[in-house]
Amino acid sequence: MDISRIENDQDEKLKLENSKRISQLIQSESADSLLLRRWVVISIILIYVFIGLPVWFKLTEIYRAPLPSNFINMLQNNQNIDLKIHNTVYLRVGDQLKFPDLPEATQIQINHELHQLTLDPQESLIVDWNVSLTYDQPPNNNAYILELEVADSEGIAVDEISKVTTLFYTLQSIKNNDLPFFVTQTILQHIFKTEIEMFKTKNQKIKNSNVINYSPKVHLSFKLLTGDGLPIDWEIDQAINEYFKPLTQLFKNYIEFSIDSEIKYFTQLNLKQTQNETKELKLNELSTILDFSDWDVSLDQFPYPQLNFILYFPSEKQSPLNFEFSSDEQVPFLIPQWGSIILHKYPLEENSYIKKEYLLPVLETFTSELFTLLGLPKDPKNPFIRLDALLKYTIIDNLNKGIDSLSSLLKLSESLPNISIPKTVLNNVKRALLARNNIVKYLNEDNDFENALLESIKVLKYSEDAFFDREMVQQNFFPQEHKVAVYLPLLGPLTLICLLGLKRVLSEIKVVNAKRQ
Amino acid sequence: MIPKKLLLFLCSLPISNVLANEIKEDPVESIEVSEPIQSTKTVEFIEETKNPKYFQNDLIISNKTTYPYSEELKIRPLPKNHLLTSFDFQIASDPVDFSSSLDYINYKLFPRSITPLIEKTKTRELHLRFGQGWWDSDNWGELPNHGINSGGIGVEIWASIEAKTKEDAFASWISLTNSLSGLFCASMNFIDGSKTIYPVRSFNSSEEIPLFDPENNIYLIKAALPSEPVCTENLTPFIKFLPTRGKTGLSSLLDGHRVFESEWHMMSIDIKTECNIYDGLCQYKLDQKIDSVVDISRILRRKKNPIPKPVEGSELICDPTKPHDAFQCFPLDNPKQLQFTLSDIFGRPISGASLISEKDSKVCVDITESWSAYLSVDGQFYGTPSNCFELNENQSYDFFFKADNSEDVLGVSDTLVTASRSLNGYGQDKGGSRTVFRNPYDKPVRLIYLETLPWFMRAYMHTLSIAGGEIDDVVESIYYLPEIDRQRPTHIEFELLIPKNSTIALSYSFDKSLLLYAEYPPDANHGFSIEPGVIQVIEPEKYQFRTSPALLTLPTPDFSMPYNVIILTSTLIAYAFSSIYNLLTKRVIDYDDADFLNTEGSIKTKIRGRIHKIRGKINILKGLLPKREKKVPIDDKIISSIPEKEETKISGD
Repeated sequence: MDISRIENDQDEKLKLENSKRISQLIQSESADSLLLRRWVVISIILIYVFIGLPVWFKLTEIYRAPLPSNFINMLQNNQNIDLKIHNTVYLRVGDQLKFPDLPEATQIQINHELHQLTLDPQESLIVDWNVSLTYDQPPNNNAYILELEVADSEGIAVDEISKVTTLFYTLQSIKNNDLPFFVTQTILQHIFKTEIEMFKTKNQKIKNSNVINYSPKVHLSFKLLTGDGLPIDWEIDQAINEYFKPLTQLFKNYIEFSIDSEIKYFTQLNLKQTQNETKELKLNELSTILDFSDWDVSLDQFPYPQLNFILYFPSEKQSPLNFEFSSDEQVPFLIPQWGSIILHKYPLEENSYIKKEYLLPVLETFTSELFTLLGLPKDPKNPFIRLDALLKYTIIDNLNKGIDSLSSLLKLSESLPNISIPKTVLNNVKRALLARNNIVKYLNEDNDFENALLESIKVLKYSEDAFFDREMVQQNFFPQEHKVAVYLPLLGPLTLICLLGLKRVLSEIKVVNAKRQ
Repeated sequence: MIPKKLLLFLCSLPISNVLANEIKEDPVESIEVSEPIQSTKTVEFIEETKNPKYFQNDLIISNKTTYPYSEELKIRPLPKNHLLTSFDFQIASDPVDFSSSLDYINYKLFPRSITPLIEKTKTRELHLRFGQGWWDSDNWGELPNHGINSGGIGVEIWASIEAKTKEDAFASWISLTNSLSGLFCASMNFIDGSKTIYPVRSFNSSEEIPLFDPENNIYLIKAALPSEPVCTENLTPFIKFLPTRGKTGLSSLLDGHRVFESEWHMMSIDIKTECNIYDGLCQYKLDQKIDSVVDISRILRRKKNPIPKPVEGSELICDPTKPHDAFQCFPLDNPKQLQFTLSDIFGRPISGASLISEKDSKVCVDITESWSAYLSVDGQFYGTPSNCFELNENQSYDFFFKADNSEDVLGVSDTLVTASRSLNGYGQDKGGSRTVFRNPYDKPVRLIYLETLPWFMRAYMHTLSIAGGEIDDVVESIYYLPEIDRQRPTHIEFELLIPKNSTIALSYSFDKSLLLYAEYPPDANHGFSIEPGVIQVIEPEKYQFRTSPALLTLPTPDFSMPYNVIILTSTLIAYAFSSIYNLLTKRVIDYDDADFLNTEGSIKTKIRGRIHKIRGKINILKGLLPKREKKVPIDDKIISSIPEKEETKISGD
């Protein structure tokens, strides 16, 4: 007998026997019960996937406050869409003459001129800007007043102390009906020229890096610095009282200045001490030669910007300073956003006392540099009109900067899905938007620029607080993988059990189906 | 002719010749001493190098200017070759009428960095202490200046603030500490309500503090940071307060490396407001002090050998009271003869006197006959009978010290009373505090002992006990303000009367609280520093000192606990779930059946089945091959893995 055939027969037999036994085992449970078990397995998997996982995900989620993204995006895309800057010019006509339709006629011309600007995208204004004319009495003495006076020839006179502009016209111009044109020219080309220029789109890109951000309070610090330790003194009290105080009085509605002065010794220049006499000061090396941190002069004790004005005398060792660029004995420098310094070539003698008469021209230099640092425009001559223009521009600028911060915050929150956004951020965003609403109200309804400015500073502050929230930045590094790793002891076994159960049920179905066939 | 320069030292004696001989006799010292006559040349030389080209303008006139600034250095040798150096800088601001609002301030000398801060917070007095090291009162006696300028280890700050209410005062205080924190690079911004106390009897100023608004009150507030490391970054702003800014004058000696290398050092800043009753003008007075104790022999050793090496046999000084020969020596640590200069101690000489100050820079040395101190200028040595020197020239100064017997120092005044505090007890939840006061003299001592305990150290006053005396005799009164969790520390002020020649131990026990998870510092197991107790002796004379800080260990949790909890719970849930899942989806069958199913379904059976199949096929193929009888059993052996026994069994079937 062939052994292999016997073996094969025997295998077949065994298989038959086994499958018989399996089918017996399967049939020992009713079909209903089997079906129920399958349902149990499938429902557990369904509960796990559709209820368990979402609940786990929700419960372990990082808190992300809902930011008003649509509104912020709208503001970012349509800057200053709901803002109006409307100036009112009060007309006064002297010489007992009356022009009842002059405001209307001029208004048409002004509107036309402003409309012309919108045609060119470079020339268009970033905000809805307009001027209206009226014969009403000015509500306060801070209003723009345009006086019309008859004279031999046409001309314009700008007052230096108040915002009164006088337009001289001839009787001939009335006859030619040129008066509305003259008034329009005066208003747009003289009184508000700087303001219009500031609001033009093409001028938005050019930022003056010298200028500090506008703040209603600015600290001015006058310093007498000497490289030596020899006692010196200056008559700064009287000089400031006589010369600088009237200036601060002039500005008091716009900027409040706090002033101090100090004398500092041993403030040496960072010059290489070489034996030969050529201690040449090069202009491009000046930033390393003036070492403010070592002089310990710029301290942040004030919550508002500080500008420093320095009168510098070198030490005996380092003198005479050899200015490469100038042969003068004293050279002033403007340091962007920091202040100004006047370098002297020769040191002061021991016990020198600088009299106020010497300080007056120095303070004049400092004043003109102060105007540059504050970003005051050059035109027109009247400082109030210049300050007004700066103020209005600052409102819009702050506002746009604030909205920029908010939209950057949105971008950040969208690009980092794992970053937490705490409630404080949301509150700051809300506050910034509330302050913005107040600005809209102040500008559009009340023409109240001072309050609008205060609110615009708030917009800037709150939006920056929202962006630089400490908690938000700290939570940055909490990735999703971390969470999965921590919960793996739960998720791993559950998933494995469910999948193996499913596999078993599937193979069981296969066996049962095979048997049925 | 006496050189012009020498006239400046009016009190100095022309003894340099004598000194020169003295030094020349000494072979160790190699300072070159020149004849005094030569110094005239030096003066000429200085004038030559000065380039007298100044800024000339008619509007700049010459006017003698002096400023209210003075500086003084006191040097005093202590036993066992230690040296106490005390710097004292005093600055006053210009008198100003503070009652009217100021819109303009002129700073001439007074530091501009601190004044707006004081004015904003209406601080009338401010006291800051930065200290490190241990004052050995057994050897060194009393603290300098009766301990008034000394603080505890770490940072201590107290201030008198004018305010309407206590809340206003606290708000000013927080603003003050935050600003000072930035100014001095110290973590004073961590001072909050839970570290702040309002001392009742301690720290009271003897002088009247001016009130600018009669409706206001003065609030005295104090806090301490005992675990703050005091270092160079705290010294730099300290020096910048001075008009000389460490460039000339005595402050040019202050080098962070040397000051902080000392055995004990204390920086103090005191600002006071003083008003003149007659003209109503007020001014600030700033008093800055640095006291430090250095080990002279250690510093000289380091200067000679920056890398420590064993002393050569020939240089060893053996104890003569013990046996010594070429092979045996009990070395004496401290050589009796000393010679050193001030620049050895501080690493640099004084670079010129301060010319801004109204008084000359003054250096005083407190020494006995065994010591001698000389001022050294340009290799010339000058001495004075009072050992006080006034410096007023813009040139380098150094001091030379020589001791025949360095142990012979001016007698130290012993401390009236000593105190030491320790924490005792065991376990993680309870502890005790014990402070031992020792009065070795024949006079009873009355003192106020102030303790500030953090809120997580809950002291029980009923456990207060006194060892070594009757509690009623010793404790005169107690001021006790219990803690509020996370808001207020425990504030205790004991008025104690320590009887003559006695040792009193005051002890009480406390509970340790558990902190919240996030409240533990990064090094939680290091423990929490308890600020030093302040002892203010009232009788028989005023003296102030502090105990050392204590280290309290709190029960600290395992900081990975949240993760462990999550992981453990997850595992348990997974376990429970799997059991229930199995019960629901599997059925109960016979053990034999289960076994059968297992073998049937198992991989082993499957593989065996596969092998059977292959073998069957091979056998079929074999059947097709021509028969070679001899080879059959060999083939069988190779291919079949079934034992023979089974084969026979099957064939039997």
